[in-house]
Amino acid sequence: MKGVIFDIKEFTLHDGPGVRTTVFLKGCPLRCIWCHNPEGLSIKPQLMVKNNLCKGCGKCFMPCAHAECAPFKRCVHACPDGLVSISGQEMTAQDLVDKLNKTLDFNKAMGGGVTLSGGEPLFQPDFTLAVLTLLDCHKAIQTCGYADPSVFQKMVDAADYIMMDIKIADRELHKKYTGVYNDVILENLDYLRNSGKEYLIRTPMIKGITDTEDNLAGIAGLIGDSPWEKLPYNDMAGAKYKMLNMKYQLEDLQ
Amino acid sequence: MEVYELGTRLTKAGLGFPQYSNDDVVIDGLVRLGYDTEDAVDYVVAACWEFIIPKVGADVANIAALSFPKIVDICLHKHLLSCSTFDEFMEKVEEEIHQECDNICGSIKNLWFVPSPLMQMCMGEIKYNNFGIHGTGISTAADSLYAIKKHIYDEKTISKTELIEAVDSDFEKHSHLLPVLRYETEKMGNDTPVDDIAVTLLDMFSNSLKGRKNCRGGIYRAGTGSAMFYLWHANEIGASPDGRRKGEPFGANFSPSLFARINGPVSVIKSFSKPDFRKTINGGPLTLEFHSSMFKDEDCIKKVAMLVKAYMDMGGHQLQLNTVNLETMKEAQKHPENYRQLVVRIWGWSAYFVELDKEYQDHVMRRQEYVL
Repeated sequence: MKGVIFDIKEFTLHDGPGVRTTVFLKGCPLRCIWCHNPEGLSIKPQLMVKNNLCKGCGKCFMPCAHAECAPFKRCVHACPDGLVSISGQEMTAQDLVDKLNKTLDFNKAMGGGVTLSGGEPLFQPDFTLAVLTLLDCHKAIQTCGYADPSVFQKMVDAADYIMMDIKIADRELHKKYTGVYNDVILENLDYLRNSGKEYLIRTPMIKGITDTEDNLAGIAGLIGDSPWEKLPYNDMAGAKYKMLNMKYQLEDLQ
Repeated sequence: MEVYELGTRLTKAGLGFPQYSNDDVVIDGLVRLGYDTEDAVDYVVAACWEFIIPKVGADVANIAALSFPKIVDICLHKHLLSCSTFDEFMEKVEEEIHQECDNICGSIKNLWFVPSPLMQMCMGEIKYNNFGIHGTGISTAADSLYAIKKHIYDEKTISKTELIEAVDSDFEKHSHLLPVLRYETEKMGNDTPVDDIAVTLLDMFSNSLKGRKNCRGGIYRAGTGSAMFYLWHANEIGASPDGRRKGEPFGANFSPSLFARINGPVSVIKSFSKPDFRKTINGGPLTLEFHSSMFKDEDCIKKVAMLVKAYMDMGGHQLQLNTVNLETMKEAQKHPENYRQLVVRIWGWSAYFVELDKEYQDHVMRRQEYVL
């Protein structure tokens, strides 16, 4: 069972209880215009170039024999300053778990475990489920909740702690800013609230979009007495778009 | 745990304090070097982090330094072509370390203290006259040796002459090797076999100093610190087989190389707790730089405190943490007049950032920064 991940971060302190390692899975069904992990949107490996430090030596444009470079017509092993890389690494669930196990004893001693984030971990349901099953520790997932209810339920059952985003309460505004309607998200929210699992609802505070009085009141109505965290938004989020040759839509709005 | 949390609160203040020393390792190490237990338990740190004994010790804990990368450089040029296995090459490394220790110890002679009545009043009967030798650039050396092992002896993907020519020409020749060596070869700090080479180097260093007597009747102590030698020694050699370019500094004290891609602080403390520090007890801390956001609430302070404790539990000897913020330091370089109060930890001391020479400022800014 193979999946695509774009980062593993050690010693994360805000992705669930204790000290954790967070795995970022590539691919997401939503297209939130404020997304701060643009490399997590597409499931396909992508070329990432830190152009601002490039001295223009042209070595990465020289022909090479590496299979992984072929789709990009650019060599990712040639840059003398390490500025050219592929975001997105295919690996098996077992390889990922073996890698995580190297520091897991430490996380366990610190009351933590592993968090699967993204992108959207439920976008690669078989892989995520395989990883959750193989991991022997406290397991958390961070999800936007947009997944087939049968998939969602399986994941909730396999995890110990679920951090789920409710970004926008209004159905049409949800479609406008994230690209999808929130019907299935709310259906899944219902399951989560009745699952008996420990969970947390999270809302990214985007100025003028999600942090409005109307929206916050709407979300409060949807989630009732659920534990709720409002996440401050990092203004630096736009930086990665340029490296991926992608467009940062929130910038246009501001 | 409460002490570690209080310590972490102090770290958060941004002055580069406190520095942690592990009694279990330090006291045992000092006793093994011949210090009486009743004295060893009284140890303090000298100027930076060198362990000394008040009243009864006249140790000179920073008298000289061994450059590990220089040893690798000597072996690369003198012995690589004739060694058919990596083990053979490492035997040469050991010989050269021994030779270098001979040179260092041989050059320290006729050391006299200026008579000082005040000092004599403060000191008791002097029991220890030991000299400390720092060990500089451990990760640059371990990374270089690992690159040699992997590419020349194990995988045979680089020839001996190619590597020597690449290093001698600062990677002008065989330039394709630079990214391979620099970014795609394992580095010390990620809990890999590279760390074992560092353990071996430190063992060779302390074994070589064992049994030597200094000119004041004391012994020599090996250490893991660098003091300012991380810049000086780096200029003694050209490029190195780990992909370090000519003129680039080593890591300060006991730290990963500046361009190593590190998985995170957990991997670093695992890697850097592998040596038996009781043998290298002249001191020299692992230094971690944390972004100021790591300390934003009580929960984070507890978790960082647990990381410090974990390093000690794993057998680490000494640790210091820096609270840094790259954006702030960049601004401070541009507008020093607005950042008179910014303090950073350098190698064993803290300083006002804007008062530092630019090369020291740049070095702090290039160190591995751990963010959330």
